[in-house]
Order: sequence, then structure tokens, then C-alpha cells
Amino acid sequence: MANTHVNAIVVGAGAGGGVVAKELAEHGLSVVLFERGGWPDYDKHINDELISQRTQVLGSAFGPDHRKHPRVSLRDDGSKRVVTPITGGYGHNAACVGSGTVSYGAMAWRFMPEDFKLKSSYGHVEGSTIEDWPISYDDLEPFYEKAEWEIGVSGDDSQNPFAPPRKKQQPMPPFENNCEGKVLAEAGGRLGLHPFPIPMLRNSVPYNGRPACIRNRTCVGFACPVDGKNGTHNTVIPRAMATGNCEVRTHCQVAEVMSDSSGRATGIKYFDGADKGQIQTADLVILAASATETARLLLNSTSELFPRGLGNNHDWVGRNLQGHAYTGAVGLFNYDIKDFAGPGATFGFCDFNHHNEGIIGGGLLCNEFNPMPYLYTGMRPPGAAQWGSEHKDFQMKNIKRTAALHGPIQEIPNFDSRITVDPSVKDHWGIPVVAMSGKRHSIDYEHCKWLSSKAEMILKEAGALETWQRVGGRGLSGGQHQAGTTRMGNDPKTSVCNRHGQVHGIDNLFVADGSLCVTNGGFNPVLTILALGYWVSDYITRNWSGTKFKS
Amino acid sequence: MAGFGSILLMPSCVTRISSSWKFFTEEEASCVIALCEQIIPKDEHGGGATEAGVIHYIDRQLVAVFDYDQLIYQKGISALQGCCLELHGKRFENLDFDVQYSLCTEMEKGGLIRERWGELDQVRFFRLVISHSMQGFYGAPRHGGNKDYMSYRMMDLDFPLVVGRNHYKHLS
Repeated sequence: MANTHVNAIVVGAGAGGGVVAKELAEHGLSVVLFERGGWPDYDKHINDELISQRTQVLGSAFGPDHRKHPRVSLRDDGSKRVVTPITGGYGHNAACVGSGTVSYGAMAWRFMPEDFKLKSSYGHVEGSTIEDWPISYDDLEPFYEKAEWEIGVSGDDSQNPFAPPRKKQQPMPPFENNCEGKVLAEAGGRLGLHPFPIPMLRNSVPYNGRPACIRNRTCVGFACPVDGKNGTHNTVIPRAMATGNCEVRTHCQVAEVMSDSSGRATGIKYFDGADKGQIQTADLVILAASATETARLLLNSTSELFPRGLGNNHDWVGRNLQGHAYTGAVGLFNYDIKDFAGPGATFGFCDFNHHNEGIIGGGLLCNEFNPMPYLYTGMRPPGAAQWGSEHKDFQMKNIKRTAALHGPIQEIPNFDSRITVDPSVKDHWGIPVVAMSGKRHSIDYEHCKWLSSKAEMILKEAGALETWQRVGGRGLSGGQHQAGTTRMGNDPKTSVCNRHGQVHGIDNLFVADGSLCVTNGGFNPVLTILALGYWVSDYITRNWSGTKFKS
Repeated sequence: MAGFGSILLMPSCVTRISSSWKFFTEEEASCVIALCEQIIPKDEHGGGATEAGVIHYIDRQLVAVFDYDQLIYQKGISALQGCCLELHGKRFENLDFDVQYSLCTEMEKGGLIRERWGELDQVRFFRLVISHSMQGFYGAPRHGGNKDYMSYRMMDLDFPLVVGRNHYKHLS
């Protein structure tokens, strides 16, 4: 039986897609929200590091299934490697309702005004596609606020002198520092820096009908056992369903966006949970499948008008793939500095975001999420034993005596860091898979060395007996903070979507995820993606009339 | 655990046919058990890979998630045994702990007899066994290793994690 035609299809039930489904459903549009995974189930992965989102050596508790969803990693020399969630180098977010908002560490950053105008703040960077966003911080500010209140954020920006202007306080008070946070924040203060509590999409007090956070050790990488962590799966998506206008269709793999002879989107082709090919038609299609999968979907949707994929006539779909080059330093102390209260990260410094001589953008610096025991087996000073009694002794003596400071460096985008599709490698359903290629701009590594040296300086001031730097910034970009592959812009020749997230030239096809981000800030991006979900929805609902846009 | 103990006691009495393992032959298992014990030895903190049952983790995963690593284990064990027999006239698991240690140190540097390894990279093989040993020793017991959370005891991490009560000190 054919599926009933609806007003809107949203592909991907993560941060952006969850918000859009709720906004459109509340506005009266009939919506089907497609998700390739299922609803997250806490009981399936309680306290099991080996299937957590950070360490998926035995597969991912949240999906995707490593046997059904291969990807390709292309090397500089043209050779390729098939990767899966368990091999590493796969660079994905959780595949379930809520996606990364189920398993994340839940930092709730607003980008700074400068992050939206990187090119005009710093000028062109050779070899990059650095650009300003077509929207400003002020444009997005009301939608940041809406995200903070509807999803739920604990924080107090008044303690951060670098915080962007806001009209309304975050809805919940900030979390307290843990032991390690107190020591490191005080050390930073002595060095003239400005520590403050990290804003979090977790409940510091009961909120929205759900309890406060219990500081569970296994927080980041895991679902919350008491539902004190806020994502789209326990906020906006249930609200969308409660309107009666939104169906969440899980375990469905979307294959392509269909379009007609005038170039407009008509619906999607997908495979249902029984692997049966299906068609869903709609007046509107909104893609929010992540920067890798949204790009793949567009590239796999070819037609006479768009022979290289929808929105790709100027070859910008999949380009400018960004993520965050994580960088920092580790210190060993002579006492138990780590209390393992979850999630571990409690405070940050924004002193290294913007206005630092010779640095373009920069990045936040925070104490680290709890490293679980297997992850910690890789945290060793350079030259230390990787096995044997010395390695084991280090583990037992130091797991509670280790503190790290690190942060996400704002990557400078480039044209060749990209997503393509590989027609020779197919997923379980025969759909060509994501191929990742290119590498970060060389300036990212320089920025990482700089931020790591700052982290090490603070750890030394805090009294660490031994410190070492972990410098990131080289190789393939993407990962859990993936962004940029359908960038927004005013010029259709150098961007994929306009300032409303509407694909240039196709009035009823939108993107509402990190793919829109022109640049990716020096912050964890989820609050920005949630805000973009509201921003795109706002345009759609203001201009929608019945079954089409008002003309 | 009975079968596990008997292997240690009677390494020469077992045959391929009667293997009690899901993947390994009895001989292969004896070699991997010794190798894992080198990677995570028993020490003053407590038991090592053998007591934690790391071999159960690896054996179980090689017929499940790690099925694509089967060949590298078979070839790697065979190559390592070839080196041991050529250099010392004994199989790896029958050598003294210190001799095993220096062989591992060589393997880590790629210094064992090259011809014995064919196309297989001995460094890659050793690193793979290191990763799997760490997972088996420090990961969740439900996958076969880390018997009774023994590594968690050594790290003084409370276990099992009781939701909402994990700030209480557990008695060990």
C-alpha cells in the first residue's frame, strides 16, 4: 500500500531534524521524520565502554550496524580503505532517534559573533575557502535562546567575560566544578585567564518533567540512565509526536530525494525495516542526516537537471568538510585529582577564542570528559611502555592522578576536504556509500600546537609533576562535529544553500544540520545546529501556506 | 573456568580436534594466553591477563565482531612459533617469562626473523594483540574478560556502577 502524501519529510532525527519536525508539526504541517536507527535503549549498553560512542571496538550501542554501513576513506595516493564504526576512521554520529544528542557530553556553546564572520575578521587564508556566514550572530541569537529553553541548558554566561551578548539567562543554574576542575580553574586564574562553568544540555535541577543529573561516571558516550541529559529524543521529538501531526519512522534507510522535471523535490525513496523499497511523497523535503550523510544523499539524487546530484551543479556539495581538531595536554599529579563524577568536563576558558595575536579563530579549552579504563590505556607520555608491567603499573597508579585540558580548534575550511560517494562500494541496500578524502588545512596544526602549549602551561601552574602535549590538527577532518558540506551563502555559484537553508534553485528542498555551517567555530557545535533547526523552521513556517510557499 | 585451568596444566595433551575454544586450537590458545600475560602480567597490583580471562574475550570476538582478524591471528601465531622454535627450540608458551619478554620486545620493533612472517607485519600483529588484550582486561566482563571486574578493583574504581549510588565506596 502506498504511503499517504504528507506536507514534509525530515530525514534524520538528530539535533537539527528533531527540532524541524517539532516546529513544522506544531505549525500544523503533516510530517514524517525518518531515522535509520531505532529509539535509544539504555538497558542495551549500561556501563559498557567497549560499545560506547567514544570506543566502539565491539560496535556501537546506538548504531549504525557496522555490517550494513561501510564507508570509504581515500588516501592522498588514491588508495582506499573500507571503514566501519569498529575499524575507526569512520567519523559518524549515533544512528538512533536523538542521534548524538543521546550520547554526547552535552556542552551547550553559542558560537561567538566573530565565528560568523571569520573572513572579514581575519582576511583570506591561502589555500582555504574561509568565508563569512550569510547570517550573523544577531540573526541566530533568538534561536539559540529558544534551543536553550526548549531543550534545556544549565549555565551562567555572566561568569564568562567573552560570552556573546544574550537577552535571556540560561534556564538552569550551572553545574559545580569537580575536584580536578577546581584545581585547574584556580591555576588558570593565577595566570590571568577567565575560567567559568561549561554550559551543559543536562539538568542541574529538575527541568521539563525530568530529573536532575546524578553525575553518572559513564556519561559521555552513553545514554543517561535517569534521563537527566537533554536531547531531541526526550524533548522536541516527543512534542512533535504529541501534536498528532508527526510520525517517526525508524529503521528506514533513505536512498535518494526524488525530483520532477521542473527540478522540485517530490519525495524520497527509502528502504523500510524489512529492507523493502518504499516511496514517500511530500510537498517539502528537509535533510538533517549529518554533514556526511546529507551530502551523500544529495550526491546520490541525480536527475536530468542535476546530473551530479541535487544542488550540485557548481560542485560544492560535499566540499569544505570540517570538524574539530582536538588538541591539548595531559598532566600527572601526586594525588587523586580525578573523582570520576560524570561527565568529567566542568569548566572552560574562552581566552583562546579570537583576539589572540597571529591566531585565526582559535579554540575553547576545557577539562576533559572522564576517560574510561580502556581509553586510558592509550593515555601515556611519549616513549612510555605500551604493554607489560610498566604499562599496567602506570594504569593502576595514575588513572585517578591524571588530568587533561583540551579543546576544539576552529578548523580553516578547504575545498578538497570533502565527501564524495563511491559507486563501487555499496551499503546493505546497494546504495553508494560516503567516501571521505582530503585533509585539514596546514594552519590547523599550527593553531593546535599553540593551544596545546597553553594547556600545558596551565597544567604546570596547577602543580602537575609531569606534563605532555597531545597535538591534533592533521589528517582527515569530519568526525562527530562534522560540518560544512552544503554551506550557506548568498552566491549560488559558491554555496549550496541560501541563508534560510534552502537549496539554491529548489524551493522545497532544505538542509537543517551542521552541513549548513560555513565555518565551525572553536566550540562544540550542537547548540548551533539546534538553533539552525529553529532558524530554518522559522523561515518555512512563516512562508508556508497549505501545500506550498506563499508567492 | 575448568577448561581454562587444564590447558595451563597440560599444554601438550591437547589436540586440534578436541579444542574447547570457539576459534583457537588448544595450541594456538596456549600461545595467545602466554602472549597476553606478557602484555598484562600478574604483578603486585593483582592478577594479569590469564586470571582475567582475556583469552576468552579474544576467542569469543574472533568468531563474532573480529572475524576479519582470524587470518592475522592464525598466521601471526604460526610465525611467532616458527621464530621461537628456530631460536630456542621451544614453543612460545613453553619459554621462560624473561625470554618471552625479550621476544615481544623484538616483535614490537619488527626485529623477529623476517622470513618467518611472509607478508604479515609482525608489528601490526603484536599491536593487534595489545589492543585486544587491553579491551579484554579493562572492558566490561560480559564480553568474556575482566573476570569479576578485577581490573576495576586494581584501579580502585567502584563496580558495578550502581546508578545514583556510585559515590559510595564499595567494599572489595
